[in-house]
Amino acid sequence: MSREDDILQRLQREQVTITDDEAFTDFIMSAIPEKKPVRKPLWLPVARLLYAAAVVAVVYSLLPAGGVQDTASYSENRNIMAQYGNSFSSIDKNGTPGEILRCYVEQRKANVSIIKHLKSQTYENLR
Amino acid sequence: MQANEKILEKCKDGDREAFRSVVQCYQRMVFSLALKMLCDEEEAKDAVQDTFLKMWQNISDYKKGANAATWIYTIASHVCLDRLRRKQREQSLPADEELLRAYVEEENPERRLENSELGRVVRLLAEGLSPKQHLVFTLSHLEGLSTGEIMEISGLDASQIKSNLYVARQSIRKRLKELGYE
Repeated sequence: MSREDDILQRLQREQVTITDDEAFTDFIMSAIPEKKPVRKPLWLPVARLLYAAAVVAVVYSLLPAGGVQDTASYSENRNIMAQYGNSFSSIDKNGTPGEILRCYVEQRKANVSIIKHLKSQTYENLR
Repeated sequence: MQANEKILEKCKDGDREAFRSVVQCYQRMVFSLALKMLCDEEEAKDAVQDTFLKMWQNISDYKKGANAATWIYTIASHVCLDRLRRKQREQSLPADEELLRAYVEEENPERRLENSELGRVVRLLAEGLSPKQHLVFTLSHLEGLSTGEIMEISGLDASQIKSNLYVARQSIRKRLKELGYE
């Protein structure tokens, strides 16, 4: 057996000492409140799950159907970006969560379209 | 050392006296883990108190039939890891090296380390380990728990435990080598 194993085995055999078990228990119990612990209701996890599902459903309903469509032109998209970009800060402060999300989605749509446009431009130039 | 189901059910109903008997049953076990993790007697005592307070607050999470010791170890591990992450890691002192030398060369097998000495020896050996490596090393080598139990307590899988233990052992081997032990 190596010296290392020997030391670790000896340490494993070491027992901690508690000089006064009763006093130690009293010390621990002094932190335990008199009030009975609250039993967590069984329906709580189910309610949490339903809440999460509802949030996902709302977010999903706000997203554009059929993914991001590249219908607007490059300049139109730039305008949308500017428009929503400018209003974003005020909506961010004063808007409802729905407005903020809608603004974000519009910006994102426009952004994706711009990237698509730039990509196609780059391919054109390469050709 | 297992607290029986009936007592734990009473605790769920807010019976403080029943809880007191659970504390009596497991306080030494939790103190042992806390001392080896935090390497400081006073802090270990506070950690034991925190552990039982958390246990009381979350007693309804205890599942009937589950191993109470493993559940308490899990709570204690979280408490110790939190404290270990928060606190400034203490450097070992030359006096700790002297203590280890005396311990290794001790001829009397009956000689036992006092709590503070045990804390100092563990601090010296575990210096440089991450909190998670320290936990896995303590549970495995100092508390003698199985890999299955450590998996349940730490939430790590077998390969993560193996790699943490490997790093911990390498570090301890290096430490002992520095001290002149091969």
